[in-house]
Amino acid sequence: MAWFRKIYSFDYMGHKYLWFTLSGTVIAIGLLSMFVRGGGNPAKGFNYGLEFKSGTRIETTFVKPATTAGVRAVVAGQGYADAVIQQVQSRNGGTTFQISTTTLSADQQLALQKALNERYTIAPTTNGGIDWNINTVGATFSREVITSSYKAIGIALVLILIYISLRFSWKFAVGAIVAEFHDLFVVIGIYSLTGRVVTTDTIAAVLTILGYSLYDTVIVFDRIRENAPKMSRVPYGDMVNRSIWETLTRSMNTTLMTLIPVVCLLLFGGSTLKDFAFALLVGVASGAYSSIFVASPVLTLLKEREPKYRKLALKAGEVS
Amino acid sequence: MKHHKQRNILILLVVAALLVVSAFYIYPFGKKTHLGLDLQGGLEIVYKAALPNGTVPSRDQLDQTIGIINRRVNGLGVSEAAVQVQGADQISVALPGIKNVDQAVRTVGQTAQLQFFNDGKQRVAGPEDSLAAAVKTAETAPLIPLPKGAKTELDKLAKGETSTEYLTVVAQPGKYGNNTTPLYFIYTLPPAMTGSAIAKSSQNFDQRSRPNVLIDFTSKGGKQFGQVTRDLATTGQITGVNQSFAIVLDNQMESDPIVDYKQNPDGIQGTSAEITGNFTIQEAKDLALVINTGALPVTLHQIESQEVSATLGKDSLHQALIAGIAGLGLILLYMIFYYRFLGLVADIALIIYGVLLFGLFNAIPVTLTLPGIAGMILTIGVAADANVVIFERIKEEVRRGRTVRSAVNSGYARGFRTILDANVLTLLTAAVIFEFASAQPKGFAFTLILGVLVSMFTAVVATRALLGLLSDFSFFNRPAFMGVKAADIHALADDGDAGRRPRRRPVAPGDGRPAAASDIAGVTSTTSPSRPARPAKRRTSTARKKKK
Repeated sequence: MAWFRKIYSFDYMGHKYLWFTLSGTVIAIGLLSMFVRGGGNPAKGFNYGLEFKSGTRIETTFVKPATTAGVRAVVAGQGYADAVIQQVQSRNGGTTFQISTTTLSADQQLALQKALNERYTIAPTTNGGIDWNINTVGATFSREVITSSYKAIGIALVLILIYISLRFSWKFAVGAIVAEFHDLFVVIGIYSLTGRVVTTDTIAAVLTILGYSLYDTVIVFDRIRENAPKMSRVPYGDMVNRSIWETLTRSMNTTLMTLIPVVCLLLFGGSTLKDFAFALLVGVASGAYSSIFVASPVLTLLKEREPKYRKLALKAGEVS
Repeated sequence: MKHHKQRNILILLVVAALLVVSAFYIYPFGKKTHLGLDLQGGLEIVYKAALPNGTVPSRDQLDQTIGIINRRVNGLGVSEAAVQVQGADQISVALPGIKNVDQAVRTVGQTAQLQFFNDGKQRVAGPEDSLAAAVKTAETAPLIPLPKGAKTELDKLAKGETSTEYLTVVAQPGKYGNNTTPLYFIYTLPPAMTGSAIAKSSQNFDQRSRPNVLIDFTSKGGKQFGQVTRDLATTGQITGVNQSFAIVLDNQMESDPIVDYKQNPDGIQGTSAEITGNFTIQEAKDLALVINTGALPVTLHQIESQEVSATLGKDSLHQALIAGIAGLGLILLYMIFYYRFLGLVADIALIIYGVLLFGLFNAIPVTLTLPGIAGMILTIGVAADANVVIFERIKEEVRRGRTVRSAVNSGYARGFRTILDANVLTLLTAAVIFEFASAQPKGFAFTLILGVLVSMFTAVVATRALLGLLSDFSFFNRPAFMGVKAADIHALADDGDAGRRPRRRPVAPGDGRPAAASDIAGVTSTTSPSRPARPAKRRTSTARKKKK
């Protein structure tokens, strides 16, 4: 456990350019994936869910034994040859399938339902209905989801910038915002890279990360704010290092406390909750990392340009 | 200290009272919770509303539309339907637990055209048993003279078109006795009045307690209706036969009431009218609904719909509950393992948090959706975070040699600032999501906001009161209780001073505060009296909050 003890005395700020390179590489890989997958347009480099495209998605359970190929044949027989058929986790004592097609009208949906029911018998539910779940999204809806998401992210970042500037100072705010962008790009990079489906819930999760990933950053910044006047003769980077050492246990514990429920959602939740949890998992982990390896180094970099701290750093031989 | 004790007792009493109130809202379990349709099954439709000319409707027009859809939905017998404005021009209709989805889609989504025709002046033909017969009558023996060129229009009607430039076909579903075949009419366009003349319609009872239908007109609509009925009454006086007018919805005759010329020789003036007849209450309600329907000020275009079966909903709820219980359980265990006695206090606070949040959800009531549950589960972590921040601070103070009691006090005082900043940032983003995101993330954001607020209360205020009371007992003042080893108290106290300003070691042990030293009667055995204490001078500098 000797190596573990070392994290409480490691010179984090002395290696800031190493962290910047690491984060830069990870983000660059993500951006590259977005460009390549999107064919030059990074906004298209994702596997968008139904809310972002227009179309109809049906999830239904059949009583009679059914195969993906068999269901595809019935669906194609209704004129939807390019529908995507997927078998999903079974329920209701039958086999459950997800069928994604172009947008179907109410009559078309009904015709498809009848055809499938004749062939495979759709499972009944306890309340007297049938296990037939359908989600239809028009093009207008998806456009609005995207614009409202951009708007929300922009406004959230501006509010965060203002709040941290007021409570700390603008240099802290810059550190925090750079860390925010880091987390944002890590999450979307991983979504592009893994090809996971992006839904409105993903967007909500990303927005939550914007607020929540600052938890650890605030913990460190708060300690820096407190230590600064007490350690005014020490180079800024050393003071930040000390602040990180002092708050490391609580940063790790708060991250763990958040990751526990998130991992539980990922393990036990249904598909919607899993989507949510995956984005939160990546975001919370990235947020914990960025508070020490992005936000604090950026703050130190800005502070060390101040004449007073530059002198101290020169004296300690930390910068040239 | 006395004052603090009273305050702490008061806070805990408030917590106890809130728990009782919450329990009232929670019990019987599951019965008082509003489940969203993703959890109980149902239908959700999102419409984009537009004015006939394609422009965005005003907020008033949207509200009016929502009122009408609400009335339509109530007719479907859905108990927890929710019709809401979403964004600038969208209306979402959620019908949890609905069984007959097809009927619901039709009833809610129809963009009906309500028309009124003056039977005496506008009926060209009818009632006839078939469309062909009606067209034939119109060609050979029309009830009113037809303009030139009517022949080509009648041909179109015969081929199945419902409306042409001057003429329209109206069918009346057969409902008289055993007659099940519909009857057909042909009327001239434009209608005498349209749905825009109507402000509101409702089912009521006449003086003899028979069900009737009340219609409130707009002021312009009232004048139009006065004109139409005056015409009918005048004709009635001349012919001695009561004249009727037709209420038509989407080419379907819904009612064909007469104007009694003896009762109303000048027609029906004013801003309201009543339709009487041999209605059952249901028929009167239906007719009122139809009239309201036609008065829809906007056209609705369906842009999203989601139908969830009861099975899928139940599965999702089940999975979410397992995830929530597992998450809470693991956090409870970890807190006890890591923070020992303090962890136990935090666990009590977490359980209180769970009960209060759930009670609050039922009390408001918040409709619980999957994203909402995700938000709730996430806030368990946020609530625990607050305690982690405070407890780490307390441990730190104890390691520096403070008594447990004074460490608790300063741990809360300093930890609170951090928690406040962190939570304000979470609240800010949650508020942004709530304001700008679409429906599902909204539920998530709302739970997050409630959760963060409630957790500030339970994790900070309630645990502080509890610890404050407990610290009066001597057993409490043992650092081991919170997982601090006696050895660390020395080691870290020294370590914590390294790299700081040259320090002066004072001779006096303790906290630099005599009062604190006297608090700890039996405790000093764990903290050696000869340990280096923090000089009073540094203490004042730590109290400075602002950085330079």
